[in-house]
Amino acid sequence: MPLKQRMVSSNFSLSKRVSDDNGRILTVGQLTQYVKELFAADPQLNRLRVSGEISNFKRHTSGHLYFTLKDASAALRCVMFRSQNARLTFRPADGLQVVASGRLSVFEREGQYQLYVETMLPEGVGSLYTAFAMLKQKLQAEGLFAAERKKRLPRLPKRLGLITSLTGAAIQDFLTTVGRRFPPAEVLIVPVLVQGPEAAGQIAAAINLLNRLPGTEVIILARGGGSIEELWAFNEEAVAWAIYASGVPVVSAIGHETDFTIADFVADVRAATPTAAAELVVPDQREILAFLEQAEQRMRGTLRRKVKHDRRYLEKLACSAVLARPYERLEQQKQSLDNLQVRLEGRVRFLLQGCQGRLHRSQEKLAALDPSAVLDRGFALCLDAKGQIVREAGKLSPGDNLEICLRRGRAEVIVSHVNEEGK
Amino acid sequence: METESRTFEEALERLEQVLGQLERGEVQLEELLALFQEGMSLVQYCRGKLADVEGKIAVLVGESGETVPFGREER
Repeated sequence: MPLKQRMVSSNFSLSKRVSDDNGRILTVGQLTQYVKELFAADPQLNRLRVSGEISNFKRHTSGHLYFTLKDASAALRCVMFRSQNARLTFRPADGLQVVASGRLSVFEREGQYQLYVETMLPEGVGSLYTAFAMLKQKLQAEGLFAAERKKRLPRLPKRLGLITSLTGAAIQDFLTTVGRRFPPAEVLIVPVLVQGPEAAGQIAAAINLLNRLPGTEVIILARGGGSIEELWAFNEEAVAWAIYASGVPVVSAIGHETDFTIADFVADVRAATPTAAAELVVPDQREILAFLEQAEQRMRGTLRRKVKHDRRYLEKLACSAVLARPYERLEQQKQSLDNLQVRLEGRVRFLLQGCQGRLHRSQEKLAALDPSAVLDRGFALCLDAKGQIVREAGKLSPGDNLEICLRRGRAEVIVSHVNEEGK
Repeated sequence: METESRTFEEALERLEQVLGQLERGEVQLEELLALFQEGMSLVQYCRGKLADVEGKIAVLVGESGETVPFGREER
C-alpha cells in the first residue's frame, strides 16, 4: 500500500522537522500550509476516484455543489465547482451511490481536507447513461424528435388512454386531476409494468393496442419519479418507435420535472408530471362553460345594440324634414317665385318710368325749338328761292327773290341792296 | 360547415370567429342575425357535447377491448 507508506513517511518528516527546530512553535497557518503542500506533492492524492454515498447535498446559490461522501466507516467532505458540475449527466442527490473523481486538498480556513470533485457518475449506471446518450443521438438523427411531426392534442378528447401501472401515485394523481377538471372524461387504463425487463415491451404493445381499438383520442404514458434504472423502460428503443408510430397523439408524463427520458423526446407533448399531463389533456369544464355563457351574453348584447342603433337611425330618418313636412320645400319654392315676380314687376315699372321722363323732357325741348313760337314773338323767317333759310346777307345779291314768313302769312320780296356789315 | 358535423374543437373555434365578426361591428343586420343564430346554435352544441361525454374510468383487460370498471380489476 504505497499511499499508506507515504503518509507514514510524511508524518515522520513532520515530527522530525518540528523536533529539529528544537521546540519552535508553529502558527496554525504554517502547519496547515505544510499539510496542504504534503497533499499537493502526492501524485496519487491528485488523481483519485472515490466511491461512496452522497449525503448533506447542497447546491449553493453560486452554483457550486457541497456534499459529503460516506460509507459505513467514514465520511469525506466534497466540493464540486459550478464549471465542473454543469457537465453532470445526472442529478446528484442524497442517498445516491456515486464514484467521484478529483483531487484531495486542504481548505485552510476551516482546517478541512476535502475532495475537489471534477467528474462524478452514479455508481453502476455509468453504462446506462452512455446507452441513453447514444440512443438519443441515434433517434434524433432518425428524425423521431422532429418538431414538425408532433401532433396537436384534441381540446375535448372523446377518450383518454392511460398507460401506466395500477399501483403508485402516478395513476392517482392523473385521475384525481382529470376528475376535478373534467368530470365527464372517459379514461381507458391499460395496465403495464413500468419498470423491469418486461416493461418496455408491455408499454410498446399498449401503445399499439390503443391505436388499434377505436375511440382513443389521446394516449398518456405515466410513471412516478425514480432512478435512471427505474425509469429505464422509457429509454428503450421499442417504446420510442411505438410512440413514433402512434397515430393517436402521445403525452409523456414520466418521473419528476427534471427527469428526461427518450419517451419524452419522442412524445408529441411532454408533461412534467402526471398531474400536469391531466391538465394538458382535458379542458377545465368550468372554464368552457364560463366561456359559453359569456359568448351567449356577448352575442345577445351585440344584437341588442345593433337593433337599438338601427332603430334610432330609422327614427332619425323618419324625423327628417323631407319626410316630416313634404310640402315645405314646394311652398318655399312658391314663395321665392313670388319674390321674383315682385322684383320683375318693380324693375319693369322703374324702366317704364325712366322712359316716360325722357319722353317728357324731349317734348319740352321740341316745344322750345318750334319756329312758330319765334314768329309769335315778332321775328320773321327769310327763305331763298330754294326754300333755304337765309342767315347771312353776304350770300345775297340785289335782285334775288326771297320769301319772308311772318306769324301769319308770307310775303315775296326782291333784294334791292346788300349790306354785309352789322346785324 | 354545418354545426352538427363539427368537432367540439372546431365548434369552439368557429364560435370565437363568430364573436369576433359580430363585435367588429362591420356586419349588416341580416348578416348579424344569421351570425347570431349560428353562434347560439354553436353554444348549444358545445353545451350538449359537454353533457354528452359519459364519464367513465375503465381498465382494459383484453386484447380486443374488454374492460372492467376501475377499482374492480384483479390485481
